[in-house]
Amino acid sequence: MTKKVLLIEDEPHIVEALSFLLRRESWQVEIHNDGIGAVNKVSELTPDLVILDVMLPNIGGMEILHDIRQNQQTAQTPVLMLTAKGQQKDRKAAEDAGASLFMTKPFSNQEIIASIRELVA
Amino acid sequence: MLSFNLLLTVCLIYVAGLFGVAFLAEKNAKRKKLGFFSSPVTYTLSISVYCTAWTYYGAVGSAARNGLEFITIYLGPTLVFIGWWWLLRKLVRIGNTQRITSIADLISARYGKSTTLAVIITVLSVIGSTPYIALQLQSLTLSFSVFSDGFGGQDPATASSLTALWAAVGLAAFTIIFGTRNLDSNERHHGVVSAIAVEAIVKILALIAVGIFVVWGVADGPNDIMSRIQPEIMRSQDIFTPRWVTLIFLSATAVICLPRMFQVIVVENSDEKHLSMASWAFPLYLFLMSLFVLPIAIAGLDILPAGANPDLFVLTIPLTQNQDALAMLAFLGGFSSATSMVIVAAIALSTMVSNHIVLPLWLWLTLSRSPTSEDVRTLLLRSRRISIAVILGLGFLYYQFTSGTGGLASIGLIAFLGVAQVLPALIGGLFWQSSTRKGAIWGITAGFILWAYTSFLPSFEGNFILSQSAISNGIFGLEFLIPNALFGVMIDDPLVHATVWSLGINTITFIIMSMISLPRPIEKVQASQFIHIFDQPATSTTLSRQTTSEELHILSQRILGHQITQKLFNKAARTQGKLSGQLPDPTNDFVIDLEREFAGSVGAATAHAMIGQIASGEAISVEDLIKVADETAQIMEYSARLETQSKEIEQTAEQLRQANAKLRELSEQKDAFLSQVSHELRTPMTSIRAFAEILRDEDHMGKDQISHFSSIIHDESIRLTYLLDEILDLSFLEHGKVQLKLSFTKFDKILKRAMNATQTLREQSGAEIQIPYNLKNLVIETDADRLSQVLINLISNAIKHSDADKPIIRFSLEHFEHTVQIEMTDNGKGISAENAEIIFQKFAKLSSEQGAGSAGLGLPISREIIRNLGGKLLYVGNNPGAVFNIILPHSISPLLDPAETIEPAD
Amino acid sequence: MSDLEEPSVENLTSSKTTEDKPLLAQKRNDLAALLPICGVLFFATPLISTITNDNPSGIGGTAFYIFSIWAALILAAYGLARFLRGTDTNPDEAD
Repeated sequence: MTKKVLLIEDEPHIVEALSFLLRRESWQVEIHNDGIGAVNKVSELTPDLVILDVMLPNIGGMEILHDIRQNQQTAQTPVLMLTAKGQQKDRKAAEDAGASLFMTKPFSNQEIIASIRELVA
Repeated sequence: MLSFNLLLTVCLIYVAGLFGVAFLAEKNAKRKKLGFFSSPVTYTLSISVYCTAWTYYGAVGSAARNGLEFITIYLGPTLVFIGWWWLLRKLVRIGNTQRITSIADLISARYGKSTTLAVIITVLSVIGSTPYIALQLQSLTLSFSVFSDGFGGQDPATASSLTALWAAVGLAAFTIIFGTRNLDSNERHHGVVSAIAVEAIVKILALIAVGIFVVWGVADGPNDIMSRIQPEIMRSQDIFTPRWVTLIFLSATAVICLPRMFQVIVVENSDEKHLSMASWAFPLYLFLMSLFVLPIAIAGLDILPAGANPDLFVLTIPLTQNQDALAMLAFLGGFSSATSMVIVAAIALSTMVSNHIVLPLWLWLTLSRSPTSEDVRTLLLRSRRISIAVILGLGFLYYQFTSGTGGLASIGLIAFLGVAQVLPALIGGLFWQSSTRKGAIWGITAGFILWAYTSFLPSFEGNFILSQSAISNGIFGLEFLIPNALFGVMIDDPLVHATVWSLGINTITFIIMSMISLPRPIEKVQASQFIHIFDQPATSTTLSRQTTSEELHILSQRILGHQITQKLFNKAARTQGKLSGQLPDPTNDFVIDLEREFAGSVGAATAHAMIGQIASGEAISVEDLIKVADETAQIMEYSARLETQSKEIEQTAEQLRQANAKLRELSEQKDAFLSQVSHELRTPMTSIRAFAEILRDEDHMGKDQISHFSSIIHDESIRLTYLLDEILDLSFLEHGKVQLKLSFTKFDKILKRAMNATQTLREQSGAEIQIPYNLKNLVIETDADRLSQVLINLISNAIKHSDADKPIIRFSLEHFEHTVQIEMTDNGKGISAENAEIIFQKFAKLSSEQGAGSAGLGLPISREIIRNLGGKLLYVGNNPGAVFNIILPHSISPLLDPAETIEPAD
Repeated sequence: MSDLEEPSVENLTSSKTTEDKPLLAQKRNDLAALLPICGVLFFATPLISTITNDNPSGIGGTAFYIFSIWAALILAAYGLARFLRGTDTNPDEAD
């Protein structure tokens, strides 16, 4: 069964790279590039995994994560958080808010794919 | 002529009357119903103890010899009393609050409860007062001898001695009976004071009666008296001489410093308000005392045979006029003058001797051995009684020694000068904070020695210590040591000479020694208590004592007697909320009160020592006790200093806290910036790494795909570089480290560069830039590269954020006095209020902004550039598109024609 | 406007009353010093001989001068004592 991954990220090149990697794994990739509407998209698509950037325009990734976890429908969805701010306190905050995994940019392709595999298994 | 027996009878009746008055007053005092006996009138009359037999008889003698000079003895005290507000009021207030018992006690208390000082002043007072007492005995015998037929054929000299002896014995008896009845904590003697008030009335009435008789009985009124003036009185017309001033000064000093005057003015004062009446009433008394002195002297010289003793005119005039009753009254007046002085002086001196010499000596000898030996109270009373007897005995001996020599007045003045040695220490103690015990001791000692050498010893005329030749030729024949011309200082009047030397050296020594010595802490405490007596409620610094109430009770019984002790302890127990009969806790307050009560009986220094002795629970010397008090004062000083220090430390800590907060704020700003930088760097690096790995790991990729991914890596690398450049640039600009290449440039040229740099962007969006002619031609001294950088940023921002189909950017120029203002407006929707606040912040990505190519440093860098160029970059609002103002300094160098330095416009 | 002015008026009056007391005490002290200074001036400076030397009636005149000044000083002291007793409340407080 094809797994569905929702990629919420505003940097076009990163979106492109991740899409390439995910599609190569034969996963279905959905893309959303703004904070606004991100939560709706999650409940709408019911993806097997959400890849969520912390720094998004208009609404921050932490807030979106919080909303995802509040929603009954999406509360169990695994969320992989990506951040470019390599600060320990952000990791802690993300884990407390219910992130399944927290990765710092730049990431290794192998590593992120392996993690995603684990999360969607 | 009065018979001697009649005279004696009247005298005895008079004395019996005085006893009666004294008894009555004591009785009323016990019942606390003193009435008249504690009124300001009695107080004022008791001060008249100043007018002794010397002034009573001697003033007339002095007037007969030296004219108006006698009046100085009254003018000095008048000046002191009308100035009561400044000196006497302070003395009385101190006396009452500190329970001062004598002048020695006052000085010793002021200078740190010093026993040494108390002893010195006591000795000085006894030596100074002894001749004075002798003087009274002499005047008594003289006045008796006027009625010499009554001696019953005895040898006149023996008769005189006998009279003097009996007088001394009688006075001692009276003084002992009424002066040492009790040991009052206030050291007040109501009986004695009342008797003296009666005597004061008798002496003034007597003198006025004689005066009226002389003016209107002997002569025919004042004019007749004036016409009888002898040439020898007329002679001394220029009365303003050094002697005149000296006499006023000495009498003013004496009225404060004489032990008996201090006794009646300060110690016997029961109410400070009495002083305000005495301030005018006592001068009035003196005025009346002196009013008839001159007429009596004139009349005496006129009607009595030449060679008659002028000192006895007051008696001899009525006698020769056969006015026996008046003569009797005059005699009683003189008798009153002499007796009142002797009684009060004996009380004052005996208090000093017993409190300052006998008791400390006894404490030193016995208390260290066994604290439960003899009763202090009995000891004090006994020592006072013995002291009185000894003092009167000394007076009698002095009289015997010097009988027949010297006028009355000269002895009186010598005594005045003797006690005046206390004055510098007294005045300094009341008004000069830095005066010290050392200064007082040395000053008084120096003055005392000089007084003895130049005035006191020469008065014996070679009969005592100094021989006649030493007096006239100097000791060992050394001329500079001649007592009346010390170091060759020739002052005609020996009294002025002695005054200048003794008081001068005294004062100078006092000041110098005070300045070079440091006051002990207890002195400082006492000094401020004395000097600022009106500013503060009386408090006493004492160490917290470890003592038992039993011991205090035993001591108190010894000093104050059983009844007073019971009363005191019961009262204290009640205030502490205990049952009557229980002993009160030895609280600090109670111990201070007790010490004050003791001070009233035994003097401040001794009381302090005794309390301390009990309190410390071991046998130590007075000096040790003072050391303990010193340490306490020092500890207080240290703690005060520590308090100041801790305040300073607090201030420093506060400053540090503030600095710390500032640093934390700066550090947080820095962290935020670094975090931003990290984010901005990691984003392009993520793309670069991801695509690089894809290129590396992927085997089957099309050529187009490879080229696309490579170009992304390339673009992101450029973005990274650009970002790093911007960060460095901003950092340099912020720290003002940029090298500006200033030159006069035409604005057109700068603009062209910006146009070139934004060409692609403009062509893509079809934007139009409108530049007015005057702006193109503006010549400005600036860094062309930097300014064009700003323009590029602004133009590209305007185009990027424009929502118009065809972005239009309009420039305009306005000149001001020292600046030019370049305004840029676009036709977009403007900047939202929310964004307007953050556009100049670093990495501020507007909420609507997306995508790569902007790290959010453009506007901050632009603003920094303009700031470095000496201007301002402002966002001024929307119209309706965003309006930015670039304000730049504009001054055209007059030396340089800008047109020649710029390249021609293309 | 009046709102602004009122507090300043209050300040003025209050500062005046707080200053009055020490000022009064100072003036009282100065007044009390005046009398003995006058006494010294009249009795213990050359003033006494310049005035009395011109007097043709000799010692009688000098005596008259001294006694007159003396009486005046006593009267002034009487007035001063009454005045000072009215102003000085310290002894009562101390008790």
